[in-house]
Amino acid sequence: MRRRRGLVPALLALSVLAAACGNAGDDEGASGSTDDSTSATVAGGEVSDARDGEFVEVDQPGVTDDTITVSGVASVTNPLGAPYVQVWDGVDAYFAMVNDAGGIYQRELVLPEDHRHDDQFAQNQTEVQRIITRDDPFAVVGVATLNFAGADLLVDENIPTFGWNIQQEWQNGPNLFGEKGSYLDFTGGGPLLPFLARELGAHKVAVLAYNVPQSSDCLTGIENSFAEYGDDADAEIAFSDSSLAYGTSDLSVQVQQMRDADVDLVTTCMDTNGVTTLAREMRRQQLDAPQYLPNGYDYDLIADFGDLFEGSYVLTQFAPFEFEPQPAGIQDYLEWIDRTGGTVGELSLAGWLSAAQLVTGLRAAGPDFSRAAVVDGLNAVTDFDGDGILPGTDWTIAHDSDPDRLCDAVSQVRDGEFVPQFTAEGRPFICFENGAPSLPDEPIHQA
Amino acid sequence: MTDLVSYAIRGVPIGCVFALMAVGVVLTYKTSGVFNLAFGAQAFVSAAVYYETRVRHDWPIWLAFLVAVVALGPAIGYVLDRALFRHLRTAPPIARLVTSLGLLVAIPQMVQIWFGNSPAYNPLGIAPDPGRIFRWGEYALDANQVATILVTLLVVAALTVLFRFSALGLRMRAVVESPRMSELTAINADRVGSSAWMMSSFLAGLSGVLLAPLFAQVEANAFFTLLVAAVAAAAFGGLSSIPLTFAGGLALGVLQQVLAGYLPSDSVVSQGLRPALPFLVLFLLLLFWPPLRGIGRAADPLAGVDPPPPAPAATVRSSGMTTMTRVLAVATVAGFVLAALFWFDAFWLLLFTKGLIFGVIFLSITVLTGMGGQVSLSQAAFAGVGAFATGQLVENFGLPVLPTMFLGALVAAVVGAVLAIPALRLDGLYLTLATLAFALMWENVLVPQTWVSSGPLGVDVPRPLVGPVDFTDDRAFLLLCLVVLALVGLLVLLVKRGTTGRYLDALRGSELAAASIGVDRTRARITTFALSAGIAGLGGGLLASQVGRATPTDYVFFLGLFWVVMVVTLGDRSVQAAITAGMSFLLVPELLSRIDLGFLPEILNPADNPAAIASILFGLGALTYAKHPEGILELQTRRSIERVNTWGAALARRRSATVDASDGPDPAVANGPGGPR
Amino acid sequence: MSLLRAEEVSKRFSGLSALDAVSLTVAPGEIVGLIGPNGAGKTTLFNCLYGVLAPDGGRITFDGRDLAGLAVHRRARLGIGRTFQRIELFAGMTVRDHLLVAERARRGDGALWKDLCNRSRPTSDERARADATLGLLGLDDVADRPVESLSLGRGRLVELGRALMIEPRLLLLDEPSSGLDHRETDEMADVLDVVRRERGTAILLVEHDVAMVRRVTSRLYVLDFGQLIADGPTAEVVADARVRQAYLGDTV
Repeated sequence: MRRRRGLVPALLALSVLAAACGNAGDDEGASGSTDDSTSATVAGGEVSDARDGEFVEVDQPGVTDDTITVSGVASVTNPLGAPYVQVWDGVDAYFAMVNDAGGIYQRELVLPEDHRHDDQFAQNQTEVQRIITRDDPFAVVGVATLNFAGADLLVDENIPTFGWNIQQEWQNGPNLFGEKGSYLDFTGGGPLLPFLARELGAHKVAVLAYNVPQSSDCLTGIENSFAEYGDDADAEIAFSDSSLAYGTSDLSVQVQQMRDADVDLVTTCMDTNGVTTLAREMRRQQLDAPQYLPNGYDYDLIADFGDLFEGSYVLTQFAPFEFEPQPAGIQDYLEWIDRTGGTVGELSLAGWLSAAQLVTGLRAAGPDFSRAAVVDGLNAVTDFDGDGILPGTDWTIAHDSDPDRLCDAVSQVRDGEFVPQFTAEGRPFICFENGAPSLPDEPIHQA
Repeated sequence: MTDLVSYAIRGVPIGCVFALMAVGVVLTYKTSGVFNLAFGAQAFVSAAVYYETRVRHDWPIWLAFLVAVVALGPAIGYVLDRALFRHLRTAPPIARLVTSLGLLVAIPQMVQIWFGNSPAYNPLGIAPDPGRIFRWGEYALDANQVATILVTLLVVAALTVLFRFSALGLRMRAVVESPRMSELTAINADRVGSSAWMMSSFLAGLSGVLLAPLFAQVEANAFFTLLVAAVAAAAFGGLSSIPLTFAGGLALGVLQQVLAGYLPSDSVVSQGLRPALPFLVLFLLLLFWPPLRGIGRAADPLAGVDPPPPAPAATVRSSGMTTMTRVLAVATVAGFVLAALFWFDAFWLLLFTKGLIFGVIFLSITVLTGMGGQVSLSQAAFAGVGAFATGQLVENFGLPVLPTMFLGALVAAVVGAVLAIPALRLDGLYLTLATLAFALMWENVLVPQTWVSSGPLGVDVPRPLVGPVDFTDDRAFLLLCLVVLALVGLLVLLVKRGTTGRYLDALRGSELAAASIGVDRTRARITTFALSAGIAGLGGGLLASQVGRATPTDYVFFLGLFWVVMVVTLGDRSVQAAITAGMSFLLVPELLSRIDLGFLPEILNPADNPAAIASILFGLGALTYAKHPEGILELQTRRSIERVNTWGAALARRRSATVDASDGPDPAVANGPGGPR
Repeated sequence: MSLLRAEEVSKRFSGLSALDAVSLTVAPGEIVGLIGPNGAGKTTLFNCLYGVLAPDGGRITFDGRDLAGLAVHRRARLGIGRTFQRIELFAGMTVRDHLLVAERARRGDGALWKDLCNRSRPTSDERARADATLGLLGLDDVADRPVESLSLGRGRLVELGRALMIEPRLLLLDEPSSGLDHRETDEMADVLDVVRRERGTAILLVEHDVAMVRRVTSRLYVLDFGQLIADGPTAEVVADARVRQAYLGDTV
């Protein structure tokens, strides 16, 4: 199921179709890092690793004796009202934390104001070229874009690149690092949904998708997983529709048919618009089944539609912020986001993880670091977990395949809050062996 | 059977939504002769204002409604009429269409600057208790749906009465049918026009506020999507009958739900058919629906007495100046090539390469709009056809890339010709709508097919390799693009000057008279469409090769609308203008980003927000089309030539004066007006 | 043997009969007039003959060939030329270009590949023919002026010239003197005489100006309320009491 992450953003990318001209921006995120925090609280012990203090002169683009400069590119102004700009909040927060502890190799990490590029207007390739030619930064950190046409340019230059993996272009090269792996495949099934159906005692599952490839691939993936594990869970697909129009605003007939089919669990491969339309219609027709929202971990969404999605299940591939005890990485993130004035959410977390991967790569490269060494170093890391935020990314395989173990965290919406589910003490994730022959009685609980 | 009835009933609420938008479009068309593509954008304005006041500032419903709909709607209509459409009443339909396209591009951007970009989730409707659900047996409607249905019925009834029985309604129709005649018969066309625009803009605002709750958040796209479906309903009403339009909206809603109920939900057929339904219906209606036959042909008896467009700049240019311009042009090109080879860095190289490619694509608009007098909204689709065809042919048959680009262009040309054949029955506006329907079908039905796009990652289109020349080198590729652009430019020039071009001039001048000397309209139009689509396809193939692949998001139809606006603004009659437009498409945002007006708020500062400001400028630029259909570039060229001529004349006068007054130069003359200083 | 033959042509518009079984013939080289009060159906008949409207009943033949279903431009290629009551010129083109484009259309020589090989410039032969027509109509002095700058009278001559370039065997002229002053009307009449004499072109013209009709036509049809009420040699018809009453009044 991990692969369905990123589906919604990928769908959103489709909407460039109606809005390629982009829209005016908002100035919320472009305000930059506020590095005025003088109180040097040492946070995240890992950061103040002694090795970080070693200084060696290096001759690398974007690196001086005092700073390591990076660039970012995001679809800041997009017609979808998607807050891509927040990716830089996370980068700023992580950099602030590292710099506060003395930087790395006695250098400060900076994402300067004029290195933050807005690729609206379907200008991703142009902006990436601008970064390469004009900024010539050490790395690109904080990529959150509607399309990623510039990926190949970054691959050609072997610039370490970190960002939000919602495009398959992230698979194009070894120097492109998605925040939780670079592989996206919507068609693969997995035991998670059958497991959920079994836990909820659901037997008849409905699945809805748009007719566009990502979405209908995702539907195929869900059908596959029930074909494989449905019997074990005593659940089957009772209704499936993969021919909805993107931007649809009426699902009344579908809900009627779902009701006629006694559906008791509803899954979707749709964007926010689709799931709210569906939820409203289910309420009108009094179809009382939980929705499983692969991309519902969104505070704005729950704040505005909480009662509509009450009882729904959402999926994250990071430890939910509500999970107690909070992993160290989440604690750091929340603290430094707060101190730098950023917004808490999936996008800023993606930025945070991007920055963390850069630092992990720098550490792996050693004080005499280079772009190539960072790329190679990070690619040798087998368990990047962002200090407990992620179940662990194995970069020896994560560029082009799923991990051996598929891990997710599941939360339920209750009274407008996310409540982590199926967790074990100190372990927010439930995992299944990739390609398990049958649905295990108990998932693997992982920290 | 009971299923059928129940599916059909479920189509009523969404049918009312289509009908409400459609009635708004028909109202505008009936009362102002403008097919308002910006209707959805106007709806978005009111929806945004309503959201801002009602949700973000907790105003009471009545106050927010009063401001967003009752006040703002008509106010926008009044401004649009006074500033734009009043002056367009006797302009050719294409001018009105382009103006509304410009608004469609510019308005949402301007609103967004104010409205901000954070998600505006959960728009509230006008119902006091939106959570309330009304039930009749197995059917249920929430309060906002009930409000939409009631308002739609009310609007349909009121407008029907207005046009059937009221004097204002009659006057409105008279003004549209023959603005000049109405003025002769003492109808105050200006006042009638203003009230028509205020009324239709009110309706746009009303639709915006009513329909926003259909979606999860307030965004401009949603309204445009609805509008496109509504256009089919409007076509059903022959763009004229309010009750028929209402029926059309309902029918579309019902048909959609019945198909949803009966078509297998996971077959390839229904995956294509169901999402495409509105466009398919629109297409079929445009082709076969009798009420649309012959509309638009019934010309205003007093039309065509406008002053002709000014002579092209070239004709008022002296031969010396022509030579000078040519030398200058050659020098520019040569300098450009040298710069490209030795001076540009990778970034400028990329910008200029793309600029050249867009020049190629934009020449397709010169052919179709400038020469053929037709507006096509499917140029992006044609470019996409060329790109995907090139990619698939290279990938599946291992053909060499460069020749395959021309094959791809050929495929696009064939698609264009095939589209033109049924569209031949259509004129002007209807042809434009048919291209819109095609563009949407292409995007929603064909592009998602793996045999077209190979999925979300798209299909690889490598750079060409010709003998020893490897075009993966960006400088070589730029030169290739330059050569292709020169060839296509030459081709367009030859066609323009050749028989085809003169036939098209004749057809644009008078279709009737052109037919009277034996010019075959059908053939000319198929030729133009095929040529235009082929050029766009070639440009699409080049663009894909530049990037390295063609993906489904590269050739989205909205880009096509934007391109038309750009080309028409700068000038659709000349090759230079198309090339300039191509360059501007890339360079204007780049230049804007260097204009740092620090005293402005960040959002309005070109340096901080170049792309949005560029698209607003381009969108607003299209509004000049009404006054200067020859385009800004041509206008400026002519003005400067005239200025030079005036100077020249003054200089000559001065010389002769000097000769006459052999005493010596008269100081008054020497400092005379108009002389060069 | 008649060149144009209309038999029992009828046309109705939403129940109203605009033409009621109208029959008419034009012989080669003959100038025939068609008169009638406003709304009598003259223009409707013209449009049926010309293919802009399809008649509801009846048959129209040209040189023995049934014209039913034939598009306007095909009729033009058969040799039916036309001018318009409301002048229809190609805005932005010069007078000469009007003639040259018509000449090219007559030759049916508009293949796209010729454009692309730059082989579509007017040939010397085409130019000579255009010059001849310019001379015939006395338009030499304005040959290279855009048509917008011409007077209405000259504009009508350009229309006539354009129609002549396709070497028509029949010209349909819709009120060629409308809007012209006395002198211009005379000029037009002279030109029509010359055209008939020198080129043997048959002409069917709708006309209001009775003096003009008398001067150039040899036969006359009179339409009223969609029906033919009289036909015959011009002098006789003009003298007919019914015609005078229905149409001409006492102004003659």
